[in-house]
Amino acid sequence: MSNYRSNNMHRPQGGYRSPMHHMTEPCYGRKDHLEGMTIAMAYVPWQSWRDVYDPAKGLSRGTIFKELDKPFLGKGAMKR
Amino acid sequence: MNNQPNRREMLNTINELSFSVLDIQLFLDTHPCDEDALAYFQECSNARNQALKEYAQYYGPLTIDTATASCSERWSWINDPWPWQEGGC
Amino acid sequence: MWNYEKRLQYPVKITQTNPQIAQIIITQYGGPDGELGASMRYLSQRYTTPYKEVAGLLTDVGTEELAHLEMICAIVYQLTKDLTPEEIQRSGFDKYYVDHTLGLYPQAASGTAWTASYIQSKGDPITDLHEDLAAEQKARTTYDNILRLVKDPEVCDPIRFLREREIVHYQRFGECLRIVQDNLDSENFFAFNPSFDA
Repeated sequence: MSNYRSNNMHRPQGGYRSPMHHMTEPCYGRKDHLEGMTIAMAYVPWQSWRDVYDPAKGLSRGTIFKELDKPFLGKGAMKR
Repeated sequence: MNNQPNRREMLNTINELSFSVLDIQLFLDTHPCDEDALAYFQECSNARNQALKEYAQYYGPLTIDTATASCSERWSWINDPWPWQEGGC
Repeated sequence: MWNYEKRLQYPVKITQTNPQIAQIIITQYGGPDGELGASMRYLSQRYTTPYKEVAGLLTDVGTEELAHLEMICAIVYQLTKDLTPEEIQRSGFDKYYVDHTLGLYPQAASGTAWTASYIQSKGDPITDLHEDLAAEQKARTTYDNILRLVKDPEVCDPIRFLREREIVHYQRFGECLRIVQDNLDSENFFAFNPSFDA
């Protein structure tokens, strides 16, 4: 029984469990665009009035706002 | 009547102007002081009201508030096609 | 508080019937993430919101959703118009037909009837707005799924329009949440319920 811990390479001494180290990418620091905002809350950025479609285009796109015009492209649309 | 505007074109114009008014309305609900939005609302809303009045003169009312011009002799409000029926859009 | 206009928000003109996809599309009428639920949710939440911008938006979007459920019904109506009993049987639409003929009934694609269990009106503005943000995304995903299943351009056209509206509504509800936050102490947004304790 006393050799149990030393046989398990992923379990450090003291009982603290750290994540399994099988990651292929190194850890980079995360840049937080919301730094300074209060945590435990969700935030949607404010839209400003700009890039407004004319009425005909607005109706056909489903919005008069170019910035909100986000069509469904489906499979193959993901940028790699 | 010469120069009677095409019904489909008039309805299309009303759809387009009304949609602009609605999308601006939602924007103004959360941005009540935005002057650009307020100005564009005035422009689209005035054009829309004008178009609704004109449509009612030729083709019957789309709103109860434009019904007086065309509903004095019969209640044309109930005329078909209704919007979900063929020819209704 | 309602007048209406005798026109659909966006035209629906379908020339080819298709009862199979009608059964799928009806889910945006009476299904868990459909337009009826959206409308009832927002129109229910608006009464106790303490902020006029939010009350205005909930009423305006709740009203727009009624126009959307009308479009969905118009699509289903046109997809099933004048079907013969043979066409009904062949397509599997017979299970709906026996209980509703060609009448529009609010149910999901699975056949489950619409229920208020699909919505919540929690009486707390932060909670209700998170529910609303989620609802718009669920509806958007449902339209994505419909667009993968449906190929008829006459059907896809109004569906794309309805899908885009969900994205716009998401942005507006997000802005409402910002307004609620601005009216609370950021030290602790959850200290009290502004609809009840204020």
